[in-house]
Amino acid sequence: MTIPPRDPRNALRTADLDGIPRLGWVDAPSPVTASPRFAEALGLPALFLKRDDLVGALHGGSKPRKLDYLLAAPPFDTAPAWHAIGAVGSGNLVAVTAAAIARERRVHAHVFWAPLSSGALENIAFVASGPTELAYYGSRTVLGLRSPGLFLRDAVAGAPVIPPGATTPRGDVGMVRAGLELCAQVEAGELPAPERIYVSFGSGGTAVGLALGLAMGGLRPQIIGVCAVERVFSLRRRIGLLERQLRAELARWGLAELPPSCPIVLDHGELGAGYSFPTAASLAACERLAEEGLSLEPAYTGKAMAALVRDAKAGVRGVTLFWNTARREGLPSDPDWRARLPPALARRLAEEARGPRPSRRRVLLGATAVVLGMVAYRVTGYPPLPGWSGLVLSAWEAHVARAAAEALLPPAPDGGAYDGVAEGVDRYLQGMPEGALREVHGMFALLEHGTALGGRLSRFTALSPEERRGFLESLETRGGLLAQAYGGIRDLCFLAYYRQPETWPALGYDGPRVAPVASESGADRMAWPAYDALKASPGTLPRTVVP
Amino acid sequence: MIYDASSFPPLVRLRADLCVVGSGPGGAMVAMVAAEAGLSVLVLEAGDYLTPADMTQREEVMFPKLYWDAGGRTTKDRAVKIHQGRGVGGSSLHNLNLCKRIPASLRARWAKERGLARLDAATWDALYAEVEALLEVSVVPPERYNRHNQLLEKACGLLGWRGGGLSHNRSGCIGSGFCEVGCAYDGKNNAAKVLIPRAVAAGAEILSRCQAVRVKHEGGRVTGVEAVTLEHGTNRPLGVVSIVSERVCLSGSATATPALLRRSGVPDPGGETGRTLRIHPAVVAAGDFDEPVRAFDGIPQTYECTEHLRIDEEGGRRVWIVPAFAHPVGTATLIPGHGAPHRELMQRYSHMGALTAMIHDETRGSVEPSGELGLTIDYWPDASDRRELVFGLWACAKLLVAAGARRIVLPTRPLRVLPATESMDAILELDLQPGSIDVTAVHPMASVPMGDDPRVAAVDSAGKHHHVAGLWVADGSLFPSSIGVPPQLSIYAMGLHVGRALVAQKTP
Repeated sequence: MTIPPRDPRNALRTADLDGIPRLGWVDAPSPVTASPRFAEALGLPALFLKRDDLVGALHGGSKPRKLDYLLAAPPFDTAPAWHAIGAVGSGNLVAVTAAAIARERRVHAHVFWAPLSSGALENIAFVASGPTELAYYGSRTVLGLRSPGLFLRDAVAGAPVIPPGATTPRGDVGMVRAGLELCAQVEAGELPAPERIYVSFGSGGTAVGLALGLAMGGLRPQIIGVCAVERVFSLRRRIGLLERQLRAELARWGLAELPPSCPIVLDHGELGAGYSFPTAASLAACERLAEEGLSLEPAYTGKAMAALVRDAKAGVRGVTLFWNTARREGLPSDPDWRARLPPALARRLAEEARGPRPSRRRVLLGATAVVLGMVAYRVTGYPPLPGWSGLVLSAWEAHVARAAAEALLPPAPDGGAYDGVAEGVDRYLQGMPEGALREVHGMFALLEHGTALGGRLSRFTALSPEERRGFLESLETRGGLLAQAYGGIRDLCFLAYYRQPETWPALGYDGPRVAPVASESGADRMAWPAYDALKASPGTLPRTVVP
Repeated sequence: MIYDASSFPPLVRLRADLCVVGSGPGGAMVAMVAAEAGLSVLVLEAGDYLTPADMTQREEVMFPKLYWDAGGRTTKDRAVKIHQGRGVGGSSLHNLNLCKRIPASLRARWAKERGLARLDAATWDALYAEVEALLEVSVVPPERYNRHNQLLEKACGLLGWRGGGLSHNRSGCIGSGFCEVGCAYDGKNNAAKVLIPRAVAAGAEILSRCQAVRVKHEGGRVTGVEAVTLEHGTNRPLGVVSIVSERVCLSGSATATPALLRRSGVPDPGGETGRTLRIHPAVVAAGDFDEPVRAFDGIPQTYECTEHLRIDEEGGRRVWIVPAFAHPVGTATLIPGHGAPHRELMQRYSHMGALTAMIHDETRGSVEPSGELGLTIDYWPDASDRRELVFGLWACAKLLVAAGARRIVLPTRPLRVLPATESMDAILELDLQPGSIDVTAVHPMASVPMGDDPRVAAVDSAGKHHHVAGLWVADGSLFPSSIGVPPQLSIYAMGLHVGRALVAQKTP
């Protein structure tokens, strides 16, 4: 890949943004450090870390860059209180709380539940200790249902709303500035022009601001936005919308006819079970970065680094920069912070701390959690599964599905059609409720690593088919939830196996009479005019809509 | 029109005269009646809008589209599987089109016990006659019986047991046998084909991929519904749809309706809501025949054995027997065990006949909301219902032996394969425990039983809620007890009855 030479004559500088008011929290550029040992281990020509954790204000991280601009703008600049939204361990709420302390304001913090990762308790302790009133919601959906205004209006009950991730057109100017800042560092010879920049992607404003800022400064790296949130809305569409709004904001300050933004590639490969669920790869990346003296958290930056490692291992080359958006370690808190929590949140946190209750179900789930912990360190060493692209199962789970099918279905005249089993299981599981999927993932972990329960040292996929069958039979005879794990994998394997046409002749089954349709909207789809005529085109709103 | 709500912006506010939750036989009928009477109507449906072009006859593709939890819904201890439909048209997309009226004696008992002033015998009969005409219900001609059903008919004759032909709501049926995964030939005269087009033509707006979460009410009056839109593929919530409406009719099925009422904190001094669930639990026995049975070919259920279904008699038997059939995936998961014994039985697939014994049950199960979108069902048949299930299993085996089966396969754990003998009495010794045999239910009902006494019942005999103005119920929840027959015809009738009562009430 060739990088067009930077043309300093056309490039903009951070000073070009000086007409836009800001609080001045981010003055000196955050340092860029080289990581030659890590680069060598990954086979990269050069790897650089952009250390936003060392941003001076508000305990660091990239959030102060956005708040620097956002909170200088009306109505935030004069409002005595702000609303802010975030998960229990939200870094956004930390930055907003720190900003409220600095500006002597109050925060109505709307906190929803999400799995706790490391640093999360420290975050909520800091938020609760600050000038905040906390409201607690069981999930993001509950928050959306109870207080839709927080997502849709600029202000609720007189106090302006800081949206998730502080992503607003004005706030994103802070990230444009960050992009220009990196360009200046390149120009000063601190690092060569990066070809690929990895950054975690949550609310989108960080990546969109950087993509424009870097282009304005004359660089054209590819930005890999590593998704830390589910594909709730079309993220592509969101990027387009954020970029248009950001350009309009800059145009208001006389910055028009800007170059096209750097390309943003969205990477969904490291999300794992969902927002805030740590993955094995993310935990491993955090550990690796700790050796470089950098503290990552597994929900956002850990996943972004995991994507970088994965790509490097897959042979992606070029000068690479990892943009660390996380804050520094160490936050102060009041010793009595728990007393300031809403009772439901305090109870939920206490439950988490107490750990599993001693019912049979809990004991097994507890065991599963332990096993999952082990999985974090044992996910390597599986042979590659060419082209595995399951949406629910990870590659190792696909191995387990296939291994179970081999054990449960002895070879037969059809030759043992095992190849399509994992894909069939994956397709069937798509669309299952989240609670059921959590149990399914627990089941796979139990199967693969529960072999230790029977005194076996090898994991399930490393056993012979006879040994695997023996293990599954032992689960069945133990009854209760272990028998349910047997029943669960059995049904999934049979379903995925007997859906395959090559297994039907042995059954004397003729199979479906209609041809499979290649795509639901494809040309080979049969027309049923009486039905088709009732369908409104996607995106159309009902007549009964209230504007 | 029918909208895909997953394509909406994150928050949409709508206003209508009536919001109907669920688009199955109950909800679609209410929507049609109300829209044709001039009300502006919004229908919320959690599933997709599917046309016959979507019905690909492949189990693994259709289960996730047509059934809640991809067909894997169970009671909380997983001992009973409960199949419930989703999609515009509800369970009428996948059901087997059987049409039977609730026996008059049972309806008379309800009238005595629960009042039901708005549903006298003449009203019931008129509703049934109207629905049967609308759905073009007809007796299945005997020449259309497949071998599987002929074997049941033959066995009833040989044992001298009472049996008879069934009626159905199909026209243009080619007998493909794929009814349970949706009809690719538009042969079902179901809610999607008959009612939805009329409702839409009268102006009703139907939101697919939109699941109701909460009924809003204030000061004893309904004010609307809060719902979420669901992402394709994952069914995760995407955005919020907020509906302002002075009338709300719940037709989400006998599990979703009570769950919604309880999640919404709708008052219920009698405490019945969600605590009187019946499900018609059923067990299956299979027989291995020398001749090919090919149960998967042709109309699945056309003949019934009612020898042991004595609803009219006090303390009479409560077992209804019809052919059971499944395509390979369903069969493979139904046969217990694994390895060579399982494969050997699978290879007899086309020679297997199977019968199901469904119980007119008395057990009261419960339904509770679980989180914002889920529900938890608690049900395990009591001792009396378990006796009926075991007896039903025995009766199925007797019929299979009489029909000529060489051996009888009982899907118990462990698997029992019995040589075909005349007595089969060993089966009567079975002790049913959760997990010891697959119990399946396809007819949840009676979870918000109607009754005219507001101290006892939550809704009256017109489906109107006793304690919240503007709130109605129109689905199988309304039945005061199990009904002992397939419920679809009666749910269509409830929809018609409630829809008319709702329209007749001038002020909400």
